[in-house]
Formats: sequence, C-alpha cells, structure tokens
Amino acid sequence: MKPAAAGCRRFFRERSVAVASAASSLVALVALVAVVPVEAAERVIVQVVTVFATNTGEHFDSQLAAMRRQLDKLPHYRSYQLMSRQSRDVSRGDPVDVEIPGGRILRIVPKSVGDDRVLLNVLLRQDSRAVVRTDVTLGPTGTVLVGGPRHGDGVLIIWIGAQPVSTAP
Amino acid sequence: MNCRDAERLLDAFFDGELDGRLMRDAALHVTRCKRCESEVGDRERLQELLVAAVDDEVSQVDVGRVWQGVAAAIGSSAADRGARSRRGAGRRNGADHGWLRLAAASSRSTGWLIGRRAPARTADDGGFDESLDPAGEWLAREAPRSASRSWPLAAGAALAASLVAALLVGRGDAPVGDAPVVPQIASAPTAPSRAEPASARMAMAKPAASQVQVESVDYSGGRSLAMWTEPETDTTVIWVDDEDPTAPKPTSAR
Repeated sequence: MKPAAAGCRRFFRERSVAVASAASSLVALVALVAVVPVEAAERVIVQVVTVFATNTGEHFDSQLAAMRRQLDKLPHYRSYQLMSRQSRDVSRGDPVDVEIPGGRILRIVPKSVGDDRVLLNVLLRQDSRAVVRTDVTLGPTGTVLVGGPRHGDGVLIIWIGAQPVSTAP
Repeated sequence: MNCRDAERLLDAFFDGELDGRLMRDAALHVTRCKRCESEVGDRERLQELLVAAVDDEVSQVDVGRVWQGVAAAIGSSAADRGARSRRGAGRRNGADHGWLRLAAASSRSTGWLIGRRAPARTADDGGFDESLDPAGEWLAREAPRSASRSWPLAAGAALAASLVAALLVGRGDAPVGDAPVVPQIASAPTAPSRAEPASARMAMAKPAASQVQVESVDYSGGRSLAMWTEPETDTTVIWVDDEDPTAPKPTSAR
C-alpha cells in the first residue's frame, strides 16, 4: 500500500469518526429538546387588595386578618378597613387596571412569567400624574405593598400579589 | 425618630440589619431628613467604590486553567477506577452501578454506531462481571490509544450526559397541570432586608432567593418615598409620602 493512500484512508477514517461524533451529539441534543416539556406559563393571576388606614376610631376589619402581620410592619394606624379585593387572570403583556379611591388608577402589566416568578410593571396614577412606577419580580409568596396615598383622613395601602398559571395539560 | 437616633442606627440600617419596626422608622426618617439621607448616600458611594475595587481585583485572576486541571483530575480518576475494576472482582459500591453503567453503555454503543468494536475481554478480567462496571474497563483500555480514537469516547460521554440530563429534566421536576393558585398572604424566612433611600430613580439588585426583587422605582417629584423589605412576611413596602405636612401624623405605636 502506498503511504499516500494509507494517509488518505486514515484521514477519511478520522473524519468519519469526527462526523459520527458530531452526529451523535446532535442526536443527543434532539433527544434533550424532545424530552424536555415546553412549559412556559403565559397567564398570571394578579391580586390587588386595597385597605383604608386611618386614626379615626379603633376598628380592624376581620377580612384583613390574613394581612395583619404585614400591616403591623407599616406605619401604624388605629383603624383598618378593607375597601376592595380584586383578582384577575391575565395574559403576559396584558394590563390590569384597578380603580383606587381618590381618582387613582393602578395599572399592572405582567412583563414576563417564569415557572414561579412574575415580573410586574406597576404604575399608580392619580388623575394624569404618575405617582409611582416600579418593576418588581415576585416569587410564590412574595408581595409588594404600596402605601401612603392619602384618602380622606387616612391613607391607602395597596397589597399586590401575583402567581403564574401553569398551562401544561 | 430624631437625627441622633438615626445616626446611631445608620450603619445597621444601611446593612439591612435592623428589625422591621426600626427599619421602617429609620427609612421614614431618612426620607425626610436631608442630612441623614446624605449620610446614607455617602455610605452608598463608599460601597460602590469598594465593589469596583474588588471587581477589578477579581477580574485579574486567571481562571483559564481551572478546567484543564479538572479534566486532568477526571482523567486520572477514571484510569484509577479502571485499574481497580480489573482487580476488584466483586467489591463494588452502589454508586458505580447506576450513572457509570449508563455512561459506559452509551460510550460503548456510540463506538458500535461508528463501526468500532468494543475492546475484547482478556484473561486478566478474572471472571469479573463486566455488567457491574464496564465504565472503568472501557476507560482504562481507551487511555493509551491515540488522540483520534478518543473522539468516540468523548461523543459517547456527551451522548450519555445529554440523555441523562434529558431524562432528569423530562421526568418533570416542574409542576405540571397544577390548578391556578391565588397567592396567599403567607410568610417564610427569606433574604436579609435592605432599605433604600429615596431618590428620583432607583435601580436595585436583590438576592436571587428573595421573594420580592425590586428592579426599579420611579416616582414623581415633590414626593418622598421610602422602601424597605420585611423578610418575615416576604413583603417589600413602597411608601409614598404624599401627606399634607399640616395633617396629623400617624401614631408611633398601636
């Protein structure tokens, strides 16, 4: 056998080994993609609870019992009253508008949704002015409270939570 | 809280080490007191300088040879295991029987796919049950061969690793078909809290484990804003102080 022919044969054998290796890696990747379920939650349940806090009277609304620990951490008021509780099922990117007393609108837009985390864009407007805007990522038990907007002789406290909705069958 | 109290607590406040009530009081004071806000700002700038200095030092560390060391360690470990396998007739621990067998089977099958035979057994196997740990035998025999022949082994290992990863992920750690759950007002211990002084725009980075991560906050001018985290209740509070200065202040304690 001529040396050149042997070299060519070895070259092509090694090339075939490399090609086969690449092919097996490709097969593995395809298997990985095929096996991993595509489960991107696109829907979110957004919950908004509005509480009126004042120093007039001594009353704690029993409907707020579950929030008591959170309210205890805020600037203290003598009286807490549930004003509204809303829960909306929305798609990613769709805005949720919630009316807040005092001519305010709370707009929440789920910007991205992970397996258990949701990135929300929250905008509180009063009339035409933006009071506060924030981007916040919430985990399964995480909540954000927006407090302080004045209402009557007290303030409003807005509780915001969100949970992705699994869409897998 | 007055300035004297606040100054005493500023370091702990900045580090997020105060309990919830003190954190709240300090945050509210800082938003209303220019001097204390400036103190917090000084600490922020100092921290930024420190972070920048540490980043510079870390960026100069050469980690390019780490993987070479790891690969060398893995290679010698595999060779040692192969040698032990030939000698060790019957003494096998449970870990060898699972993942290694799968990886070896994959590498062997890959060798078959590309037209190469697996190495023939020899007399020095001494009756060792090949099915118990073919990985060591395969790897040990492959070690002295030419570099070009290590391709099938690498491909097999990649195939095995990918298949194992696919099986693990596909087995479904993520919840499937869960009913929609309305978030509960619950609490669990999380990352340490960190209060942020007010400014026109703030961008923050919280620990990944935190249940609430505030990416940014904008608020209209003329208002003061305080923000703090309550780890006990997984809650971040954004307090917009738009009170009329002449209005009565809320009580300091219930």
